[in-house]
Formats: sequence, structure tokens, C-alpha cells
Amino acid sequence: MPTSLMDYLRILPEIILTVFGALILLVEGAARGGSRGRIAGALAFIGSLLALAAGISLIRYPGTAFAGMVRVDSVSIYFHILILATVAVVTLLAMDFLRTDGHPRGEFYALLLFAAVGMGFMVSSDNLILTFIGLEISSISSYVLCAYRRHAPKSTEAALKYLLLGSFATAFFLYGITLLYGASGSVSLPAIGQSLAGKMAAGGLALGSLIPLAAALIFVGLGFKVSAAPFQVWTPDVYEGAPALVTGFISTAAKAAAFVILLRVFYVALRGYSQQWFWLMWVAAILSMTLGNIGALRQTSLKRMLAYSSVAQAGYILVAFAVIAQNPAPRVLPGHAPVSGILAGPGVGAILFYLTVYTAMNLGAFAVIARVANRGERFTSLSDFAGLGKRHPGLALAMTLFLLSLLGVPFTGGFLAKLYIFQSAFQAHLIGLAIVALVNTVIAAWYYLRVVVYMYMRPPEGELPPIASSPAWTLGAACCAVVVLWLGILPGHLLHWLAK
Amino acid sequence: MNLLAAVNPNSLPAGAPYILHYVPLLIQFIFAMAFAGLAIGASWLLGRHRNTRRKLSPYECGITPEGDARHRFAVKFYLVAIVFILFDIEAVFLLPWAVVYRGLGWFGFAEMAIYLAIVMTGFLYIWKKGVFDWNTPERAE
Amino acid sequence: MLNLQLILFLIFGALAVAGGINMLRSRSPIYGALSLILVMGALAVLYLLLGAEFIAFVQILVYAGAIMVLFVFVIMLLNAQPLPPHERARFARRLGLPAIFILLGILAAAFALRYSRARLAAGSPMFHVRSIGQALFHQGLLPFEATSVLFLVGIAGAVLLAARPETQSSGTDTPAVKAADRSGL
Repeated sequence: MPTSLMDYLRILPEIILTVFGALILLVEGAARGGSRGRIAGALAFIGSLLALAAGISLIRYPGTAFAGMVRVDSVSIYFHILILATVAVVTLLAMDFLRTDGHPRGEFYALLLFAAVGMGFMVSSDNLILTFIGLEISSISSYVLCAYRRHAPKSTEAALKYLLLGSFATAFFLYGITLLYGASGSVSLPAIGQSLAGKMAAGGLALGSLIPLAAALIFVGLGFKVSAAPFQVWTPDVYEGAPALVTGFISTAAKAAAFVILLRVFYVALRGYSQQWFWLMWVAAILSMTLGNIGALRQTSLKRMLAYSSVAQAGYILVAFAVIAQNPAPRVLPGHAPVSGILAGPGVGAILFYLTVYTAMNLGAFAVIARVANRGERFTSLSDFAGLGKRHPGLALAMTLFLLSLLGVPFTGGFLAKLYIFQSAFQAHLIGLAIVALVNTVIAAWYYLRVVVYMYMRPPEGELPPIASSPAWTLGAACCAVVVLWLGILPGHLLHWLAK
Repeated sequence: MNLLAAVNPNSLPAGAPYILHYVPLLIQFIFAMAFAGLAIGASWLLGRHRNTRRKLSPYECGITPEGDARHRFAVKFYLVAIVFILFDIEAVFLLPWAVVYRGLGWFGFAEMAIYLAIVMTGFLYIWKKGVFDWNTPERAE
Repeated sequence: MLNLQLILFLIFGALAVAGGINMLRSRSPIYGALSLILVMGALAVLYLLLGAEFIAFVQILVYAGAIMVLFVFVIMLLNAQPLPPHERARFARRLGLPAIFILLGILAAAFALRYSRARLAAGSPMFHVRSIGQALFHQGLLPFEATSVLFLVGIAGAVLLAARPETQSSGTDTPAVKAADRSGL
């Protein structure tokens, strides 16, 4: 197959990340002494920034590459930027954290970059084989990252659970792909869509065919990755055991990438079946929101609480998926690639906005937890946050901002993100779903605000070790905070861009 | 005699059943089984059976065996096993590549070169990491 | 020559089944693993008979070779001992054997209804290594190259998790850090 320069330009972010990841491994292998982690960290930061630049430059090269294997459209560019920015921020956050936490290992950064390679393929793949390999790259990197603090039993346990259940989920996803291939004769998403649409027009495909089973299996696999109920049981244990920054990473970037697959599979390949998958999304959304928020109420570990909260957040996003299913996108103009119009559908813009805000606020919250937890991650319970407002006003303020945004208080990004989702649900006449979401937001207020109360109105319990200063961390957390505030106060820029 | 004519797959007629291409493999398999069976069977038939406790004990270079042979292996062997699997799977890709190599030309060569370059980075990394270095004394962990 | 195919199928099919039964019967994990190698090898021949050359080679190279080596290593690493006879085993046998026959019956019925004998017998080289190579190195170029990243992830992960930390060579570790690390924090 002849390839052109364009093909490679369209996967330039992945190429850059791979090169830098390999470079880190080589440096890590060769270097001795204290410089190791630092060089690797610097390389990872430079690599992620370069890849980010390449991701932004994709705007100039929309189209397909590698014979339709990769599709660079607005969604893939948008998520490239989101994921690569997340990687850059995580690198910043990790730089001092890894050193104070014990052995600084360059592999951490290499795996981070490799995970981003996988996510990059996930968001731009138009072919289920490539999607699957991207998913595997990012998942396996995540499993290892969870076990990063391998002398801590909890970290290892988290990684093991994640690995076992994650492998099951991947197997489900793969089985779904095979059935879809069997039903349509292709693994390319647009081709599957066309084939199924053709068969449907011929009146051939009944519900008894393989399609609903394939869709259900794919949904199980991806539902696990985005920790949507009822496939969320692993979330609290894994999010609690994994190092806080890793949790921050897998709960944001990895989730966002999996949501994109969900979007592409259901929106491009299975769009003709939206009436059926509407109920799938509807049930999963309600279950995720409710189970997540109720589970979070009783937690005393902040990491566990945020794990349940992230289940609930996935539920809000699934509300928007139900909206999409309710209003299938307007007929695509002839000559227009189906995916290019992906942003035109109602609810899709809300998903993109929500995922952006969610990434910033959730990563920020886990960054603060990583900081307060201190070396060995010993201080993650609610009582350890008591009196944080006096001990570390800056940290407490940042945490308050992120929590309020997760709750959805006005003037934070979280408010508008929720508003758009609810609005789209009302417009699609999904009143029941919107009301459940609203009630859930009220329930969530209790546990988010409880942390704020602890930080400002409770005296510190016991003697806690001082938290070392870290300029890189401050910069990274500031990025998250700026995004949350900026999207809360001046969302116009992003909305304008999304509307295009 | 049909079978023997099939030993050379190149001389097969065009419409011959596909499985005949693998008759050499079958013959090799039969020979291998026969050789192994013969060696064990012959020594069992020809040798004298006078079992004493000493004779039945595992042979360990003439030294009196000590303890159980099944003791726990160090994790570094395990690491070698994992690395072996990874490179084994990499080699699986080489098989179809080698078969179609002629048709692919320089482009195919470049494809595999890039692939191998990335894989070799990993090889260099584990080498530098001392995964193959078994001489270092076991440190307490 | 279809008879040759049938004979080979019967021999290696029987070997696979025998290996499987032996694996379930053996109390020692090592013997179980060795029986599994027999199953894998026999399965490879069955794949070959079905015309799936590449799968057959991969079965030998990866499963019978690499994966089983890892199995045996893990058994050694964990120092797994032969299982003592178990009470539940009898219960499982009572429930399991009928289940096996029911499953076999369903499969046989399904195949008998669905496929004619002629279709089963005609093993054609559907999955020639050549056609797989063509597909892999043309349409599958990008996924193929992407697997190399997967490979690097595997290596880095294995080293990160299984290799001993170089406590002596790394200069940043203070004794306090090491102590904290060792105490499992």
C-alpha cells in the first residue's frame, strides 16, 4: 500500500509520543544515579508538548490516512488536544511527586506517553482493529501504572483487579467486534454503517440478528473502561489503590478516549439502531448516576469518594448519549463524510464540553490528593483533610474549586457542563432522565461539600508531616484550575469552536 | 506410493488436496515419535531392572541429592520468560512478512525496519537494565 | 486422499482429548501443564487440517512454546504443590460429566443440522500465510506498527514490576525512603 507524507502527518502526535517514549526507555536504561527520573520527566514533558503542537496542527490536515484506517476530523483533533494536554499536565504534576514518593522511575513517563499513543489511536481510528490495538496499548499501560508503587500491597492489588477485570472487558469488546464483522463483513466503521443501513433498507435485519448482541458486548467492554454502571464495581478499589496521579490520569484521559470509541461505534457504525441503544444508554445513565452518588455518600477515603463520583460523572455523560440516540443526527449531505458532521448532532457538543471540564476538575482534585497524601500516600482519608484551610490555604482553595466544579456550582466549568447536558436532555424531551440527573446533583452536594466543611471548619487531627513545595506541581494544578474557571466564566471561545 | 510421491510438495499436481503439502511434516513427526519410542523402549527391553533406593534417586552430577527439586525460582527467571514471550510474538510477525517479502519490495523492508527498530529499543533497554545479567549477587529486597 | 485427512483428524483429535482429560486428572500442576502442551500441539495439527496454516504455526510458536514456558515458570515461581484429594471433586464429577455430554450433544446437533458432511471435509487453505501477509502489510500496516508500541509497553511494564530495584546504583534514595519503601507503605 503506497503511503504519502500526509498519512504520516495525520498520525504525527502518535509518532512523536512513540519516539519520546522509546527515548525515555533508552535514557532510563543508560543513566545512573539521581539524574534518571529528572531527565525522563523533562523528556516526557517536551515530548507531550511537541505532540500537543502536532495535535493542534492536525486542524490543517483533516481527512483520512492509511486507506481509511485513521480519520482526522474535529472529534479526533479535539480529543487529541485534550488528551495530550492532560499528559503534559500529569507529567508536570508527577515530577516532584515521584521523587518524594520513593524510587523515581523513568518508566512511569514512558508508560504515560505510550498510553497516550494508544488513546490517540482510539480517538482517531476509523477501523475496529486499530481501535482495539489502541485500547490495548492504553489499557496495558494503565494496568502497569496502577502498580507503580509496587511495594504497596494496595497498589499491586489495584493493578491486579484492574488487569483481570479489564482483560475480561477487552475480551467482551473483541467479541463484539467479531460479531459485528460477521454481520457486516467489515471492521471499518463507515463500511459497517453502510452495510447495516443497506441491509436495513432491504428490510433484512431483524432484532434476532447478531447486531444487538454485538452492540451489547461492545457496550459492556467500553462501559467497563468508562466505569459506567453496572460495570463500575472495580472502580473504587482500583482508584483507591493506584497512585493518586495515575488515578487522575486513568479517570480522565482514558475515560475520554473510551467515550470517543463509544461515540464512533454507536454514532457511525450502529446509527441505524439508535432506537435500540437508546434504552441501553438510558438505563446505564440512570444506574451510573444513582449508584455512583449513593456510593460516594458513605466514603471516608477521599480517593474512594472521588471514584464513586467519577462513576456518577460518567452517568451524566451517558445522559447526553441517550440524547443522541433519541435524535439521530440529521441526514448527512452526500459527498460529506458521515463523521465530519459528528458535531452537528444534538448532545455531542455537550459531551465534548463536559469531558473537557471533567478532565480538568477531576485531574485537579486528584492532584491535590496526591499532594496532601504525601510520601507513601498515607493521608487520603477525610480526616486528614481536616484543617487544611489553615495548614495549606492554597491547596485547600484549589481543592474547593475542583470540588465545587464537580458539584456544578455556578461560575465553575462544571456548572455549565451540567447545564448543557440537562438542557439537551430537556430539548430531547427526556424529562425523566433530566429529573433523575438533577436529583442526583443535589445528592452529590452532600459529599462534595462535606470535604469543604472538613477543610475549613474542622481542626486538624493529629500531627501531619509538612508538604514539600513543588513548583512543577503548582504549574500543573494551576493549569487545571485555569481551565475550570475559564470554562466557567468565559465558555464562549470553546462553545464557538465546538459549534464550528 | 502416492504418499511418497507427495513428499516433495513442489511435485504435487495442481489440484492435489491441500493437506498433502504437509506430508513431510507428518513424516518427520512419525520419525521423531518412532525415535523417541525406540530409544526408551530399547533401553527398557535390553537393560536389567534392578532397582535400589540409590538407583532410583534423581541423578545430580554424582552428588547426593538434597531437598526437593521443586523450590521457588527467583523472579529474574520469570522476567526472562516474559521477555521471551514478547520476542516470540514479535517473531510471529516475521513469518508472514518473510513469505510476502518479495512482493512488498523496499516499502515492506522499511515497514519491518521501523517495527524492528522500535522493538530493538526495548531490547536495548532491558539489556541496559541488566535483565540478562545474572552474575550480580542476589541483594536483599 | 480425504482418508488421510480423516485419519489424521482422528489421531490428533484423540490426542487432544486425551491430553485435556489428563490435564484435568493430574493433581500435580506440572503434569497438568505438560498435558496442556500436548493439547496445544494436537490442536495445531487440527488447525492445519482445517486449512489454517498461520494459526497452526502461531499455536505452536506462541502457545505450545512461549505461553506454556511461562505457565511452567509461574508454577515453579509459586512453588505449587500437588493438590490433595478434595471432597468437592466428587461433586464436580457428578455434575460435570452430564454437563459435558449435554454440551457435546448440543454441539453435535448444531453441526449436524447446520453443515453438510462435504463442507466439513473440504479443508481449503483459507488462511494461507501468504494472504495473511498481504493483508497485514498492506491494509494492516498501521495496526501492525502500533503493536510495536504494545510490545514496548509490555517490556517496560515487566521490568518496572518484576526487576529488582537498583538500590545501590541510584543515588537519590535516602535510607529513610528505602526503609519506608520496604515497610510496604
